[in-house]
Amino acid sequence: MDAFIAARYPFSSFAKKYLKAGGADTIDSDAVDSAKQSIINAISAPERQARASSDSKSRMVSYALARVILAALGKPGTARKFANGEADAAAAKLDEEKEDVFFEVAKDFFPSLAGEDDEYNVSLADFLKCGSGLANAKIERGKVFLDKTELLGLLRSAIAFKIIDLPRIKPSEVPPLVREAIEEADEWLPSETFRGTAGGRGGAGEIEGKYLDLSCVKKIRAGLEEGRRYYGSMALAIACLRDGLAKDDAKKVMEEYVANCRRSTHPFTAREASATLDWVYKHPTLRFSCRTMKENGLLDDYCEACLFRYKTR
Amino acid sequence: MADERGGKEFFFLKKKFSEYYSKNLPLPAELARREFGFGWDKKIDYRHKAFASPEEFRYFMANEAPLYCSYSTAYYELPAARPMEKKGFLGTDIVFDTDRQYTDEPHKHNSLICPYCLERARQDALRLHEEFVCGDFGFSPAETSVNFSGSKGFHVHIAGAAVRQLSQSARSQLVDYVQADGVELARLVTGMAGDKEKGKRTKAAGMRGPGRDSTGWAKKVFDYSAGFVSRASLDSFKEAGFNAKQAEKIVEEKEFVLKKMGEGNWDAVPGLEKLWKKTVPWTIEKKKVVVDRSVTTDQARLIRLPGSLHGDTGLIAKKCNLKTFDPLKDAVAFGSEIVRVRPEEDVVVPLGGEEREIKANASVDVPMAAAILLLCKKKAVLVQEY
Repeated sequence: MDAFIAARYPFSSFAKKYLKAGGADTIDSDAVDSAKQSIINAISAPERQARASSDSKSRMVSYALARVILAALGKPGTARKFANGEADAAAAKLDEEKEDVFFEVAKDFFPSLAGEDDEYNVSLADFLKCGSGLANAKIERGKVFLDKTELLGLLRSAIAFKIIDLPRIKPSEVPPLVREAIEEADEWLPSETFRGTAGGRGGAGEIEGKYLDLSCVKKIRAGLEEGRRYYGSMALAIACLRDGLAKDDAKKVMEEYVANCRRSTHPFTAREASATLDWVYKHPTLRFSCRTMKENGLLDDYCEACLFRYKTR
Repeated sequence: MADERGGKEFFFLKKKFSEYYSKNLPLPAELARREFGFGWDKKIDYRHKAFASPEEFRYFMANEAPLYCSYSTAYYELPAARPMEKKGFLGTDIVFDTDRQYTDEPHKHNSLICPYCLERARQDALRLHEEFVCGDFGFSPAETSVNFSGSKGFHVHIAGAAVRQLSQSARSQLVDYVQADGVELARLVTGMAGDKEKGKRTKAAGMRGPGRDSTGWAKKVFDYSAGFVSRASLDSFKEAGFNAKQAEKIVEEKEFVLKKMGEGNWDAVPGLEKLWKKTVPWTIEKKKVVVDRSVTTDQARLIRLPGSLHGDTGLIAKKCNLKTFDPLKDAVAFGSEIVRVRPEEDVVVPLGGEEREIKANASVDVPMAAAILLLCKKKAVLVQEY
């Protein structure tokens, strides 16, 4: 069954084991093209991405290469769409699987999984890896109880998280064939560079965005006092990420922030802001959270924009 | 008033704290992987400090005698490194901080240190530890520890591999759970009149609720509601809004109602909906524990070091058994040696099992623990040099 699962679910540890054991010894241009195409499909034709999932060794290789390409591309929006597309396709397939296959794939993600049919349970720690809504969950003695629909939803999130957790790869570190595919994909895929007022050319003050224009973020940009500067830099970096700013533009925003922060016994340096920005841009799934802003003293009260977001969630 | 740190009161406190730390060194697990923060005027005057060994830590504590000592709930490869990203994050324990002040409940609140609020905080912490942390979350007592904060509340710590890598979002969900944030009442008892179905308000029909096999908040709602029915008298039902006839009917059918409730049938007797509309929200209010969300979710947080002294009170942030702990007796660090002080306002000092009333501007001899409390609170000055 391991080989069957490996072929059908290339993000599973079964597939990783198979590839490590020598399942694929060469990288041919077909595999690279297929990987590139799967990324392009994620943006342009998600329905084709779902259909493209053949059950073969080449699919495993193509998937692995797609992640290498995504990692080297540095386009968080594309990576997110690819991961969501793969996770949706996998969830649809898993819903149709026989119980034993479904269970094995789920257990691959949640080692504590127990139960069967419509009565499963996972440990609290496994649930919290990617689950949400604990307040309404069926929980007892460290176990969260789930029906199949709930487990499938949890699994879908876990798959998306796993796919998007990309390694750090530079284009210069990959074989020429893959590098070419990265360049082609980069040309084809829409730019994720910020296209605001400044477009990367002007000063940071001219850079705008949906998140950067929030009143709370504007306050951060105007500078904070000691004790709140680190949290402010984190929120600002996440706002830049969510607004799709290219890192160079985001750097300008952060530099402006550092300049605006009050001087004190412990100066907040450009190096610190840059380190925060690097970290945030390495975690493209980070979301802008009004609640975290409030908890960290960066927000006095929820504004219209926050309330709207909560309502529509 | 001794409102500026640096006078003789400050040096007296430093001397006493130093003496305490020379004999009692609070040592956290994995000392070398923790970041520390210290304060003399405020809770954290500076942070990013680390110690390679207990000896180094002992030397610092005895010589510098910080009035406030906090340590990271996180573990780092290089805890002293700056900025945060350079520390090499290894994981974080979970800590819940509960210190709700019950000033809205009728009692004679003592602004110096309030025995009533502390007792309520102890009850909250006990419930948090037993019902939520060990009960619902399933942590064993060996994975958890509880300590008095040294001032207004309690900290519940959870350590171990299972929690170290939990994300901020995961920690936030734990807080949501204990505070009942986001518990959807409409999902707990369905079929009540007024529930929206396809945009239309419905009449009560086939109310289903949690049963005896429920878990999570549903179980708490079941236990509370069933407990209410089980214990309630005719008068209780009348107080809950039932007329005499309805109340009599429920009391008569109590056993039947409870049996059906256990099966998830919440309308065994007509009119019960009125009761559930009260008991369900009551459950949430009575069972939830209010905690400081940022303490649990912030992975770079520094929190009071268990065993250290609190600079606002001179009390020990002592590890404790919540069932028997009395912070105003068991966390007292200093003895009965007499110190002469002069408060600038009337105060009541509730330490060591007695309440000592002291009038403003009177020079009085008080035990060391009381003097330290007053000096820490900046409510008194020393009358003579010590």
